[in-house]
Amino acid sequence: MKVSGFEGYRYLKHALLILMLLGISAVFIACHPESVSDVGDLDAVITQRDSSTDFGPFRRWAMPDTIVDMSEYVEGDTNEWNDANNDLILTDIARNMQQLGYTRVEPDTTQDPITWPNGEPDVIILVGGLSSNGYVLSSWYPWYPGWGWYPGGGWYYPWPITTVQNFKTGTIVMNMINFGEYDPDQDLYKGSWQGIINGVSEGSSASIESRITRGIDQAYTQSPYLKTTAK
Amino acid sequence: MRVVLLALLLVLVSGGQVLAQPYGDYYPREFLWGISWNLGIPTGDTADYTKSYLSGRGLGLEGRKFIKPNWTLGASFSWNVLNAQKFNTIQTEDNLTISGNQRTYLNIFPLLVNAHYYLGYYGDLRPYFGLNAGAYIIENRLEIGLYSTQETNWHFGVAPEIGVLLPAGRFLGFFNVRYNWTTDSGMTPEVTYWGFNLGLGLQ
Repeated sequence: MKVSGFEGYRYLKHALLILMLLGISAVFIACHPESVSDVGDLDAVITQRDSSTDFGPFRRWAMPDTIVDMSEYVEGDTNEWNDANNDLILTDIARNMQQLGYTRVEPDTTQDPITWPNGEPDVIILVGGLSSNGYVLSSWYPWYPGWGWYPGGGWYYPWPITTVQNFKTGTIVMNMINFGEYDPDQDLYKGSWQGIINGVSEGSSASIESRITRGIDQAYTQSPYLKTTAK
Repeated sequence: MRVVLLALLLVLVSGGQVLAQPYGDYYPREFLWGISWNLGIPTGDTADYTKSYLSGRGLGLEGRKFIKPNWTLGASFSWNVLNAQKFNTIQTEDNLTISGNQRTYLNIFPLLVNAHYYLGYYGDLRPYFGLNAGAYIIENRLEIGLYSTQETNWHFGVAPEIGVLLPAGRFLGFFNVRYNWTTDSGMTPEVTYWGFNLGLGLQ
């Protein structure tokens, strides 16, 4: 097929302009072009387990009725934890543990040291929250410090300093420790499982509540090995 | 990307100068120059990773020299983006599982030399085939929620190619299809994708 010079000039001139527009448009579209249309798009759930722990024989569990404000233990631009959704968080965790077949036990706090009238727990879940202007939690610690009990008061336990990344967000951390694996020399309990729900500090109240529940449920959904087989 | 943009503008400027010339006789030129709009379709594991079906984000610059009437040697520089979003994807590495809205990006910059053989004669529609080989600079970025990882590696790769030149005087349009394959490098495994490149050039 041969095209005369005049035809070539006329048609290719327009084609060249169209191609240039397409090309320049492509250039101005960023190298990472996907946009985040909803704060929920930035939510993430991370779970990690201790591979040597068999959760099947576990039966009883316990959980303090408080959420530790981790800003006191993390260096950085942090805010005071908003406890408005504490009950929701603890209720969601308890519901998921019940669905996995665990029985919740409570300590007798009138005794010193505390006692467990319905049997010692196999695992204890410690919950922490962090609201920050630049950090999300992303760490795993195989061992956790022990904790004491203030008679007549609430649970108390020191929280490990945690590595953080640089984003504005809120984070819920669930640490499941193995109550049966205690190192008295170091006063540390072995961690068996950790769930991190990240991104919960943004959005409307209804959105936050929905995403908290969704995040906690997702943490358990992606951890099917937690299910107990003990009767 | 500013470099690519600048190169495109230079081509546009030089094209404008040529367009202003009178339409005289044509004679075989030694060089072909072209710019192209590059579309990419990932295949195999690359498609699984990016979950991308067709990406229109890509540009190419091409230069070829005729060493014989039917043979050229040349070089090309291009850019392809393969990216996608997936929701509630879970990745497990060792004992860690992460879920959320996952965004993957492969920014691919092939720096290739090539050889092509052309059917037909100068001034005709000319099908051709050839082989490209060289370095692929690939930026691999993965985001899940607010977490992200990114690394850039150099890969060796080859790209067999078929195409056609559509000459119009000193100008030409061209269309080619390349199957790009790269070695793995760093944490980025082999990358494979079809490239469909639509371009305009001078000869």
